[in-house]
Amino acid sequence: MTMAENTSATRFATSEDVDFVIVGSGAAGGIMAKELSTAGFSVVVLEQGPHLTAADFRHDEWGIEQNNDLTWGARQGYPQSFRRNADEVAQAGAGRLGYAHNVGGSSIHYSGNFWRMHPLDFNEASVRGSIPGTNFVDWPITYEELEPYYTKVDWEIGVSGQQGPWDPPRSRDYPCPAMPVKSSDVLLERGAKALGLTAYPAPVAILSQAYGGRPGCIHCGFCNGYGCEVNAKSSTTVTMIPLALASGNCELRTGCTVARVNTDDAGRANEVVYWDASGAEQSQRAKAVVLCANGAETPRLLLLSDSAQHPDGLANSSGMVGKNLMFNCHATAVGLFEHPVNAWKSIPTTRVIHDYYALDPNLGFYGGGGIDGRHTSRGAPMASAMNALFNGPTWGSEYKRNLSRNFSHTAAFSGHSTSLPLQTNNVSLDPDLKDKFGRPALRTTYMDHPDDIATAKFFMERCLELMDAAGAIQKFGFYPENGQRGSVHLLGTCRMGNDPATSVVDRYNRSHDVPNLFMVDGSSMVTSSRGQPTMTIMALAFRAADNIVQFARRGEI
Amino acid sequence: MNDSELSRRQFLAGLSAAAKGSLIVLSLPAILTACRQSDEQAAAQSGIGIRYNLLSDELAIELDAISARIVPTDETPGAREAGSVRFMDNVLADGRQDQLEILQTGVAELNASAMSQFGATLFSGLTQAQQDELLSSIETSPFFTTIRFLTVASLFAFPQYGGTGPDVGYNLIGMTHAHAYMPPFGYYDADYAARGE
Repeated sequence: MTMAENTSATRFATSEDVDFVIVGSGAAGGIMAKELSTAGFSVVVLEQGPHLTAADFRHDEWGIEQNNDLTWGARQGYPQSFRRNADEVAQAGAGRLGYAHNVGGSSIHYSGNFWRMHPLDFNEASVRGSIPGTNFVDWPITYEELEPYYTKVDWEIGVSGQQGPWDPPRSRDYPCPAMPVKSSDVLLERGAKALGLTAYPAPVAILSQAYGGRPGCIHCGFCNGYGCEVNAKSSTTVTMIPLALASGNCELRTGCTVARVNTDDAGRANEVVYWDASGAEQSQRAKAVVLCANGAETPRLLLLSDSAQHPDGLANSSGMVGKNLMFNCHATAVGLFEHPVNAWKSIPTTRVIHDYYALDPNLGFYGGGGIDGRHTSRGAPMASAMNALFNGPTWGSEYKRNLSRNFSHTAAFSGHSTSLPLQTNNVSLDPDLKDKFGRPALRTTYMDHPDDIATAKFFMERCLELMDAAGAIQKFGFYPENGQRGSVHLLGTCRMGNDPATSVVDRYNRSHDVPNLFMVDGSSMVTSSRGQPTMTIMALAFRAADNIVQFARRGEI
Repeated sequence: MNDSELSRRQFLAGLSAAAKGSLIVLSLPAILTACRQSDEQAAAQSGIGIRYNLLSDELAIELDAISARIVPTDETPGAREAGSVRFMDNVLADGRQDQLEILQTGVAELNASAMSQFGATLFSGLTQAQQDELLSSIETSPFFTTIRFLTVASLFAFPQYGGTGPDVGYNLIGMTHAHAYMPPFGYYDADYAARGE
């Protein structure tokens, strides 16, 4: 398989119905495009960003981190606003939801951490009991129903790993062996052993060896935030999109920003209005529409698609569109070690501890998560130098001398944990701030539930213990004790459920309100998982596609 | 990411794409005279003529003096060799013009302190010890945070952003330009298999 060209050979007329318009080409959209087009359906994919390839990706830290070359922000005409609660006026730039604007979406620049959810994640509310003031409920599907699709993800995109002691059952082994262990994770493993915990190879959507015509990882260290220069990261750009384009049934239109989804008199979606790469307004007729624009942009698009028929936004009779936003929470301990750790090399993490997947209810709060080994500053040189660790000076000769120590002799142990679904945490349309197209900007309202913060604190304490047990010379820890102000995990905003009164999509990702409209991305997640949601987003996409194909063939869309 | 980094990110995120400011392009000889101390070596390394987009030569001299205390040139290259001031000029001119006022005001205040505390008209005219004393007194201010951030960034930014980086920074921290590594990556995984861990 070679990289796809930046243009699609297949062309469809905007005035003629295609079978499906897919909005977004990321973790879910790429899978949806491949599955529907190879099943024989005509598909138009609308992607607001460009079709970047491996040759476009460099270790350009200023461009990536400060100019937001991939994620776009106010600089590119996409400002966002943030507030803690509905009583506040959201401030531009006060917080931010991050996602890459390109073919492949955030599967291009994410870390590739690829945990499956456990059976418990799907029915935890029943097992654990409901939590007053939250929308903590069971999923309408089980792990057993999703397992074949987790395995399908493993083998279709290429995943490296090794079954661990706490992992849920799998029907087939990983296609690629685990990645080689890093020093930071040898230290994590030592700490774990000393404390009676188990650290085992972390699953990642990065190839440890050649697979599917792509090479294994070369351990360059620029995964988290960056596109892979050798196509070893299993983004949908290099795994799914080429197959979709090769089907002859898929047209990928890049630089196309969707304005709204229109419905006909019967309340069915019938066209998608968008601005093309030249800025001209277009509208694509479609028999069905699949929104894969991520947990921020999918609900935003539904809210922007309001009409006389749907005054509160499309597919929003429940009032749940945009609500129950979940970030996952996190905590970190940083440790200094005698010898070079060089955690800036290779992939972000190679070992994970899942002994704390579900915390004891007797602790007095709900939560759970995992711990993995990391570089202190995601392996990024500039970001690393910004942090004067261990209360060292922030400038001057001593600061300068400490840079090498901080970059190469430190390791971070990071906890990744739960977020409870709350109606008060949501995305909505900012009443004042506009983006470059004049659309109301994305407004985020978010304050972590006290249990989420207590969980993060718990994980910071465990990470600090692990640092001691691993032999750290110095250490410190932190967690978002005052709440998070943004995330790259955008979950829950079109939640899945059986009851149309309390959920946006059904168990097949179909809108309860609009029968030929599907929302397939992180927005359909009912609970937050333990902090690495992309594997589940992809599995849900394969499952939804499987069902949509069957519905379409039976004339049930 | 620690809290200080988070707040810095928020701070910079707030500096949204402002309207392009007028470009003040000073003549090359004037700049060379004014900023020889700061720029000769960097200019020689980068081969780029010294021509600022946004900074006045007076401001550039003071920014150079400050950044040279933040990452001094000692046994290894520092901010001056990284072309920090040209980096600042370049990235401020690139959609961050609204940060210029922070730098202008901060430098004016620093010069005023140089006069009130040491009887010098300019910060750049102070001894290094005097400069460090003044900077220590403002190190949590938005002005210092901004120039510190830009100075550190300049060590690592690619040359397309105006400085000479990223080699100055990479060499300081032990980073390489290699695009491929093989295990062992560090000390602790070197004999991982042999130890049977």
